[in-house]
Amino acid sequence: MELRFPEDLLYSPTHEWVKVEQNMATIGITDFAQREMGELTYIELPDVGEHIDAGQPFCVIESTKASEEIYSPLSGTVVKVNEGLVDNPEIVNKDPYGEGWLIVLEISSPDELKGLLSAHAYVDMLRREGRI
Amino acid sequence: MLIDEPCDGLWNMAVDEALLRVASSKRCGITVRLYRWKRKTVSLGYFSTLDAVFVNRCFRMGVDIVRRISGGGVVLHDDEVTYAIVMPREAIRTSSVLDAYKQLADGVIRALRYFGIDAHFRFEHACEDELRRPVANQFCYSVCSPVDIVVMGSLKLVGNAQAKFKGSILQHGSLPLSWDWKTIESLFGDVASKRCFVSLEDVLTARPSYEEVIESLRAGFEEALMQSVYIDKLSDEEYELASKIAMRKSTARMLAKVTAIDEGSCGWHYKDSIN
Repeated sequence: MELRFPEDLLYSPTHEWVKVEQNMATIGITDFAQREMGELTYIELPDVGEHIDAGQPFCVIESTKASEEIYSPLSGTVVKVNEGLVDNPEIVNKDPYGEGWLIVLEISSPDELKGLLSAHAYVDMLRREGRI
Repeated sequence: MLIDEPCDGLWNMAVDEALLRVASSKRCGITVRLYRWKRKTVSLGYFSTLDAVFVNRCFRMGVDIVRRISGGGVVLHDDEVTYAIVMPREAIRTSSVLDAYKQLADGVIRALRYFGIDAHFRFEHACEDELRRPVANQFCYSVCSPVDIVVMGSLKLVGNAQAKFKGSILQHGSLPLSWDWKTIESLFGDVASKRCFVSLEDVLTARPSYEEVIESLRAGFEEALMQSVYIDKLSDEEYELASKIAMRKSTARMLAKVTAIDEGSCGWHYKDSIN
């Protein structure tokens, strides 16, 4: 199946997507990232209220006996986590941009949004790296 | 290449984690580490939990418990050589998760050939359902994951697991020289009777020496990486970070958090982040 990169989202070079609504950012991993990982078997999400800095890990995912850190594209405070994923992490594989969202962050440094990529720029990056 | 003397589990896991974290923070080459365990040790995968009964059994038997940074299940480390390889993620030549395991453990497969052992990855013959099976709370050797190395058809010889950080990847695995079936049965119950896993002693009918195994792994990785490996030691940065990790986790172990999983049982796991 062809990979999807919705154009209304922003993307990070470490393969997270961001949906910005006022000062809130919903964050998940891209279709490319979930395909690279394979089917998720476990997921660990941060606590609500936790502060995360851009570039720091906020989540750990396991698939095929490999644990992997997921990095926050933005700084902020976690206001919501997708608790349903803890028992059903495979949702991230099935619907990475919809039901597979990971956290909602209250953005503390809006300037960091300038460092994120458009869908086209993210796809260009993947092509330059020979990943697609 | 690092070839370590037998150490305790806390230090062994701290070093693996330190190698991965240092490699993640700067551009590094490839590090291969071969190590052993001073005492029988149970290592837990990142998402593994144990119940209090099992924990107490380990303590009574003098078996240490540590947590790995990698995924996978519950592993008993005893008479074995453990390999760890850390490399930049960009050096992985494939986008396939399974083929990445194969690339990183190619040195182990080649090492086994020196003993005349024909080994391969389970996924080369596994069905799709097996690829999805979560194993975190199972005795690793009672479950043959697709990314494990098997011999004689489907007998598990080497268990493998990975941890991935930004820019770098760690894969490590256990190559048992022999199994203490009595200890396995005491800790894990009747899994020992199923005998779906073997050691080098079982395959070769004689236990090889550590020196033979370490030399074959050294040569195997040299062949796989297509370059000479030179014996080295931890850098100052790696040693300091490993010390810090070991200290933090030692403290965390003393303040272990007991988590109720379900009625009547007690889930116990301790995690401590270096951050």
